Amino acid sequence: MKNAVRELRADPRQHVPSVLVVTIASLLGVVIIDGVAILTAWLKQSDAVSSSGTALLMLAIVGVVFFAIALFVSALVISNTFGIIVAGRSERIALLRLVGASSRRLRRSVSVEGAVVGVLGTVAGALVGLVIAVGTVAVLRTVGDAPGLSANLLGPWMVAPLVSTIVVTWAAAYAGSRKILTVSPMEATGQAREPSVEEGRAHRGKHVGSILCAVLGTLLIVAGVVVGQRSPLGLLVALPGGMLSFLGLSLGSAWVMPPVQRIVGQAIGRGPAGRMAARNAARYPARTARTTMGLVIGVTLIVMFATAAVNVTDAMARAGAASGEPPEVTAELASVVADAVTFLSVLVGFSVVIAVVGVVNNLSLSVLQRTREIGLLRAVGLSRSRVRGTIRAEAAQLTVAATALGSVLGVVYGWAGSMSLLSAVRGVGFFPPVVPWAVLGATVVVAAGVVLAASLVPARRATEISPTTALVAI
Amino acid sequence: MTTNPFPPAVPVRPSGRPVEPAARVERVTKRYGDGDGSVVALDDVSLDIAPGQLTAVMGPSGSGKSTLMHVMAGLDNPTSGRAWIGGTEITTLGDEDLTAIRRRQVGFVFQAFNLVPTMDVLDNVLLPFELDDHTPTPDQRAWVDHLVGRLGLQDRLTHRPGELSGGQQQRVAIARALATRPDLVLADEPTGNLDSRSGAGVLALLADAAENLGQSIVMVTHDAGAASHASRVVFIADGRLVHELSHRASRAEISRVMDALEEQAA
Repeated sequence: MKNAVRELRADPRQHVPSVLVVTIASLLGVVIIDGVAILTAWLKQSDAVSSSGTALLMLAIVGVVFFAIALFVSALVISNTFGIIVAGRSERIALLRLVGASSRRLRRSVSVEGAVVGVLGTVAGALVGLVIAVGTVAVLRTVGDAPGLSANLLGPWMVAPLVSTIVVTWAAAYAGSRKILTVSPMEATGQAREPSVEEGRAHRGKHVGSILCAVLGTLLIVAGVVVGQRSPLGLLVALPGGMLSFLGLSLGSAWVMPPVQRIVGQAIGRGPAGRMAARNAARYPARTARTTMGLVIGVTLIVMFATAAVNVTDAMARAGAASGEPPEVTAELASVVADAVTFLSVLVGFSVVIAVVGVVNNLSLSVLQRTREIGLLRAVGLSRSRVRGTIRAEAAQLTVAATALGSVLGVVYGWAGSMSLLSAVRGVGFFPPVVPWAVLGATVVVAAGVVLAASLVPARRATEISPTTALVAI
Repeated sequence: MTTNPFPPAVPVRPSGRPVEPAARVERVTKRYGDGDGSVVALDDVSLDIAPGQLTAVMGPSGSGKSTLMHVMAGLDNPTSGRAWIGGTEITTLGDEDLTAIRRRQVGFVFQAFNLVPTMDVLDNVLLPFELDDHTPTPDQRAWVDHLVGRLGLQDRLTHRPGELSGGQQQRVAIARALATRPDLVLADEPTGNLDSRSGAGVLALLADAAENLGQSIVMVTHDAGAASHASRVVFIADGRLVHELSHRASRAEISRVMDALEEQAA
């Protein structure tokens, strides 16, 4: 406990990204709960209660699902961040281990830091969310012709997202502190050199589980599409297939992501900067994979919704034409689908922002960890602009790999989903995928922006490292 | 120690170089901070480094020897005074040019953490060429192969630094420092992290590189045993050059000077 306070006081800045991530997650939770509360109150006022009960329930369920996704991405980012923070402290940890602190006790101390981060971020997110909710109510009262609108913004439901955010943060921090178990007290005796390259490869069981989930999931998706030729119930088969296969990918990300990154690295990285970046990305495959998985989840979901939207709209148009429906009906349906997709994408957006924070954070902390190495390279003749180029190439590798993988998965999921739902409709049948090029293009542009933005701070830190750092007595 | 089991197989240095100091500092002062709290790390120091010699810079800790090395290497700018590497004045250069000088004209051997952990031995030795964006010419490649053989690294080329002993790592660092045939090699406590036997091996290699390969080397150390491998020993205390032994001195002789200096300081 004392140790946790000391660490928090010594360098509070190291937890800023984690607090930010928790803030965004908790904000999403509060916005969903209050959003539903405000909508309910508003609908009650406009006397549309009877018909909208189910719609509200659906909205709440969708909200909970996306809040869970945001929490999952936050957990990935936070456990990663704590892993890197702990790695940076390994000398101090080794010293404490040497003088007799058990690693259990040290892990507990780190999880206390996680709890502090969780509480701070959750409270901040709740405050921001409440301000937004109060503002929305005020706006609805003045311009939304609902002058008497009153919604309970502090309902008992509010406890659920707040408590779950804190608990998830605390647990993720504890999981991230696993690295402490590998710190040997020997490291404090000054004999040890650079810490070993990999921070704990996952076990065989995980490998097997990953392949099993992926294979089973893929089979279910195929089965869903086959069933879908007869009945819309195919979606109920394909949906768990999609979730299972993605779970398989997440479990196996430490094996799947490095080759993808290598290919991307070879594509963009000629010259020393690119090659160095490729080596750095390959240095901590597990950590890098976790960092990129957050982005993969976000990109996959957004591209999946977009793909589903265009494919569903197209299929409906064909079905409409086959049954001789007037085109206005089809057009109206298309606009409803588009609205729904926009709404879902905004919800996913929260997770994407969290994942981007994770990428930036991973890059800056790894720069911090490599201070000595960058100093050495500067001394031996690596110019500042090259240092910047290396960091940017690293950011590009992470982002491009995640975007590419997410786009492919998103198109496949979206297409398989629409087919398993709609193939049975007369006039639709089996159809090739329609790719949402506009959304893919936008994703690429946003990804490029993310690369530049994500490398800004870490690159500045890296170029500020003085070459004499490498010379300072160790 | 100086018997050389490997006679030079490759021409040692391109002939016809003008005889000029390998490196030079002139009236260099380095001050940290301003006003009353300022610390003078170097106080009006002038020094010529003769080509093809192993020069040791000795001094108690805090004497300014590391600062002197940083200035000589173009890693740090002096508050006043000038410095040259080869024929180039480096005190007027900006960061990009200084970086290029370090890459092409200076070699470094540090006390520890000399090597990039993600690169194997050969890549580490060839790092200055990679940073300079060119593949070594056949002549340079032959030189590197010669160095690798001479330093006994030929069986280690595909190993990562983490798989090598401390002494082996320092030999890789020496190979890298010599690879570009720089005007000057700077070695900062190169044996500070080694046991005495591997340390002696590293020192013999440095002396050999100066004597038989014609390499100019400046070694910063506080160890009299290490300095006894040098053909010239310069002593620094409180930021000033205070003494010099311009011959190959014995460990005892060097220790006597150091003891006297430390007594003065105390």
